[in-house]
Amino acid sequence: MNVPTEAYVALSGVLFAIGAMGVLVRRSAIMVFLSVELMLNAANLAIVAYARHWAGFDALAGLTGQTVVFIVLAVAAAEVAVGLAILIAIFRDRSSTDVDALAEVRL
Amino acid sequence: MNLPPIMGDLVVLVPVVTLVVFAALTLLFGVFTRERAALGGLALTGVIAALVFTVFLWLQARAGGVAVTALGGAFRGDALSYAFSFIILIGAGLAVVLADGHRVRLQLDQPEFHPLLLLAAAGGLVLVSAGDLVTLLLGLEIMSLAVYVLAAWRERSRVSEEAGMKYFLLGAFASAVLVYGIALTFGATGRFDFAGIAAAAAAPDFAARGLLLLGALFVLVGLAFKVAFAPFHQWLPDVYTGAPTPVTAFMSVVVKTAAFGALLRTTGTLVDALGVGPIGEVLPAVLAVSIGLTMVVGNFGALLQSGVKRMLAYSAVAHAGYVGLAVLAGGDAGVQAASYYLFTYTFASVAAFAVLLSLMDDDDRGDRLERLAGLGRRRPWLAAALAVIMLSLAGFPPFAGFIGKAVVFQAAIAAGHAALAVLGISTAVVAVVFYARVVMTMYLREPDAHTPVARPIPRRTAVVMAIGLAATVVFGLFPGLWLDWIARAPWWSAGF
Amino acid sequence: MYENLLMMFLAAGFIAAAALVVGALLGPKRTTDDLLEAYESGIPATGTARERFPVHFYLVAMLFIVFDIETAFFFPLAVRFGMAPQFLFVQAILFVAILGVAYVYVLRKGVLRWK
Repeated sequence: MNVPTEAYVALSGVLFAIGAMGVLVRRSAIMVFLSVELMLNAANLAIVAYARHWAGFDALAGLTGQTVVFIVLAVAAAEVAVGLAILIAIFRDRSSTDVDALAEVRL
Repeated sequence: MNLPPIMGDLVVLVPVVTLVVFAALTLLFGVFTRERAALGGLALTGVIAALVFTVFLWLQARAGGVAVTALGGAFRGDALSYAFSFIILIGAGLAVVLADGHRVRLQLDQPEFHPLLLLAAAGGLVLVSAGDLVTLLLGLEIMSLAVYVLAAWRERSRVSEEAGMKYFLLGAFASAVLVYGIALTFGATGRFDFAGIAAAAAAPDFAARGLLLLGALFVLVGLAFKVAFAPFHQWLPDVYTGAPTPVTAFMSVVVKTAAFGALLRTTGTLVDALGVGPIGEVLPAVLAVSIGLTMVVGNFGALLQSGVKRMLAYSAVAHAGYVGLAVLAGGDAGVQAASYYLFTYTFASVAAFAVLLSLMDDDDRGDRLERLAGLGRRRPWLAAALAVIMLSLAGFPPFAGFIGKAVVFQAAIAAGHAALAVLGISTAVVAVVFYARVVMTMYLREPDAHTPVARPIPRRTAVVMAIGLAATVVFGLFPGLWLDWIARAPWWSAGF
Repeated sequence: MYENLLMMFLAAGFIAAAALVVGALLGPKRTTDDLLEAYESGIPATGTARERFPVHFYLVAMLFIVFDIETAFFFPLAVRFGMAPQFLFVQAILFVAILGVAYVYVLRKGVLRWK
């Protein structure tokens, strides 16, 4: 069975949109994190799909694309570590991860 | 299968490696000894060493007349990367000295503080030297992750934690958008490197122009968050206000310069790659609308603030708009104008925050304008310094801020964006009001019983202020020192 | 051509056996009621799952995520190692050295010391 590249990209677009919606509507900082992770993984899916597509024309493009996915994964992991650290600092102070409660600095 | 020469000229990596090595040294030194006072000096040594290497490489590249690359083109040493690395390192050095003068009071002497500053600067260097979108992403993340932590630095400070969290959430969102843009660009062209993207798009049978535009828009949004173009600027006032003031100074110069370096290279490549025609016009149009909005929102936002730190934050948005004019103008003229603007803004901004630091409370809060009342008589030198910087930021001749605005507007008009330049000039008039308000409060308003007395200035902070002032005046009177130096480089190119 | 595979299996078996032997030789020998519990490591399986976990778990988990993902970079390195062996070897050593700095820092901060 040969799934066309467009199908993967369409799925990744849907995942990205779900993640973006999550960032906009969820109130818990943890859920916002998870949504961002979903967006990053949607991008990863698109990159591997395109890497397979381009590998047919240029083997190096295929390898490059696959390696980039590793880098994006590492970036995502580092982001989670930093984000959770900040979240823990906040939680220690106010026992809540509700992003709407972050209104100390007034406009 | 052919692989590109992998190593290239590894010497262009030396400034970045220097910063990383010193970050590691400072970190280990900090955790293995109790010697907190030496950390700032060690970090400053690293920044100065990286600066010396950058200048050396820059001179060498000018003599050679060609751009050098390393790691298969991922890392570039060209005029754009050297000029912006130079500005970043100067900003980082000033911020390190500024932080050092207030390290005990603001709890900036934990062993992690200086390594994070150095790593953020290293990320900035990677960002402006990136030859492909993946290296660009890595540089952006190295810089941003360090700065998220720095923004949330103050323990038990709710505003600081909040600043870190807001910055992190929006920054992570922006990165995700950027990564998706990179994925789509890869999908359209099969390449991540700027040269490859341009070559693929220039091929006569290139069919994926629409996909490339979509990718370019996503990449642009991701970077627009970092440089704080409206409508993606909302995080900036809160984060600048909540972060410890030396960190705010660092962000306003290092992060901003690095993000603009990346934006110049990226938009330069992508606008060219998209070419002329209806699809090619979308990206500049979106950019133009965003920049116009940025200038309006930044200046009017600053007008409404009663806190000086927050006013400076909004004005940082406005200045991003002016640099944006140079980005939109593009080409050599645009890059040169942007580099002059950011170079002089670095000095003015750090000096402004240095003055502010000596006026705020011990807990780094309290920046209301009324505190400045009577400063002109109580502390004439401090007031004079702040007055010069405010006038420069407002764009009064003969200071550097005036020349900066002039070259930026000139570049925009020459590139056919006269309407936007007129909008820029009109909003700059608005800016005069809030900058002049600071000066008038210092000299015309009488202090009352509640007006606190400014604390004595640590010698290191005085040095930062003196350097900032001197540069503001000198580069205002003799703008050619930078502009001619930049323009004489025959190998200037925003792209590759 | 299967010698390499055999070597890999032998190396893997050796490492697994060595880990068990070294653990048995060097580890503290205690038998307590806790060790006989169904969930030996971690918190006792009593009370509600909504309980707050000590923040230490998160710290260790975060460190694990970061160090775990970093090792993933050895996969692309291994795949293309023949391309420039000396250069990539030095690169791998530098990579491990940078991770080593982070590891020394973590140790020194006492994050892995379980109280």
